[in-house]
Amino acid sequence: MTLKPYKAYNINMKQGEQKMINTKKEDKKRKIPQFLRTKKVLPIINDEEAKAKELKDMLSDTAEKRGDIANVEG
Amino acid sequence: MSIEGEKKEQGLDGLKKIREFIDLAILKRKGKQEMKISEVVEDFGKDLPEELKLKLEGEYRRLKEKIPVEESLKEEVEFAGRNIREGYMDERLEIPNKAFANMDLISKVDELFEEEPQIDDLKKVAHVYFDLNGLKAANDLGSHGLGDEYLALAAGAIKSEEVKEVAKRHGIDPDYIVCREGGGDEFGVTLKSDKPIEEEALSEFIETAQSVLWNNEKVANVLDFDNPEVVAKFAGVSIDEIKEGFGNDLDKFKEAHNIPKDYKYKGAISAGASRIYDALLDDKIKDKNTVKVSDSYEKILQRVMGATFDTSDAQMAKNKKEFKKNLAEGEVGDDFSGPEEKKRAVLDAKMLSRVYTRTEEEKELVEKLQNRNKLIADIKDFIGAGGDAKGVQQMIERAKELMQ
Repeated sequence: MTLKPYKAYNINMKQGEQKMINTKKEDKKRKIPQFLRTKKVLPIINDEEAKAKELKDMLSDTAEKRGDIANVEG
Repeated sequence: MSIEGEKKEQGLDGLKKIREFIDLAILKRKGKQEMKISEVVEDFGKDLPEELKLKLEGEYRRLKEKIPVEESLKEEVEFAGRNIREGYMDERLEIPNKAFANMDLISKVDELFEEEPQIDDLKKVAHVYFDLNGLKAANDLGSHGLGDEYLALAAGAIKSEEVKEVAKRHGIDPDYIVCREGGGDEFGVTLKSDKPIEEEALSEFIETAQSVLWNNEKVANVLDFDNPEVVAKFAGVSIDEIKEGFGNDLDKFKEAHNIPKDYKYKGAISAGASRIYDALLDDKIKDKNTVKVSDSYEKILQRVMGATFDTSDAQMAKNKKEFKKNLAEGEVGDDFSGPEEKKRAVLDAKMLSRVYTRTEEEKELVEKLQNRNKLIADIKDFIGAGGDAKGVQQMIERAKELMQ
């Protein structure tokens, strides 16, 4: 690990501090009651890995199809 | 000069005049002041989102090739501008509509495929679906104009600076466009980022929008609990009751009906999201929207769009149900600076639940009444057409059930 020059380190410290202050401010702003909080915003995917593999084949096929269109247009 | 010679001379003269005319036309055409694109957009595309302005610019370029007369061109561009506005903008809220949302998502997915994405890149485009709670209450207890104001406040919360700031911090393009996705209380945005959008970013995005709306004091004007008419409607009595029974003392009336005297209505919005990745892997929409190898590229884009809308919609519906359950149970949590603030949150939950339940009960009663009236009309038709006594009896039994 290379040590950063003091100045850069100092700037980073300041940025870090700033970030912490910002986060605190945002937390205060984002205060909402529990009933409004959304626990899960995305759907839960079962067998994600196996499905992702299937999706990979679909993607290469789509890329080919897009290429075909580009060739016709070109 | 002979007559023949004179005719020839006149002919030459005529041709000369035509030549002069053509030269003049060419000269004028060259020097013609053309409408600048910026002026076209300023005149006919005011307040349109950037994408629609580009669409209008495209229309202008196409029309300019065909119509050389300035006045006719202006008319046609104006017509095109009107068509774009009618086709892609919500008339009441003056924000983009579902047709625009479709175009927005499809173009972002196309951009994504242009980059020849890997699996993880499918997380770079996400659709967030919002559903505003309590619009019916605002319309029924307040008025339709106030319902529109509530919708505008919700759209404003989604595109507020605070929410844009969250988007920016997570690398999401902050120039996302809020669309009214349906004629009711649904809104949506399609987000795009240069890196995969993680669930944490979407959570913060949604929560900030919810917080901005929840803390917007203007929502209290949408359903003003200091307005005797609103309070009387909420309590289910005539406004005269406040005057006759309580000597016009609104606070006493509120107390008698268990309405806290300083209660302020608050805005709540439910949401769910889906990235292209989630949409294509989601089981629930598999039969309907899964991409097939035999599909054309256009069909693939449409299926990806359908899947993404369906998945985010389903997640939103799930979250809305959970929100209503938590609200009814008064789950306020412990994220408060003191007991007063917590007390206020419990009160908000209790009142909001009452407002929603009241409107739902009213909705059910109206539906019951409509069904009953329809059945009575059916019985009349049945008897008129010479229906037998047994059939009439069955219908009467059904009517009795509905009246309970």
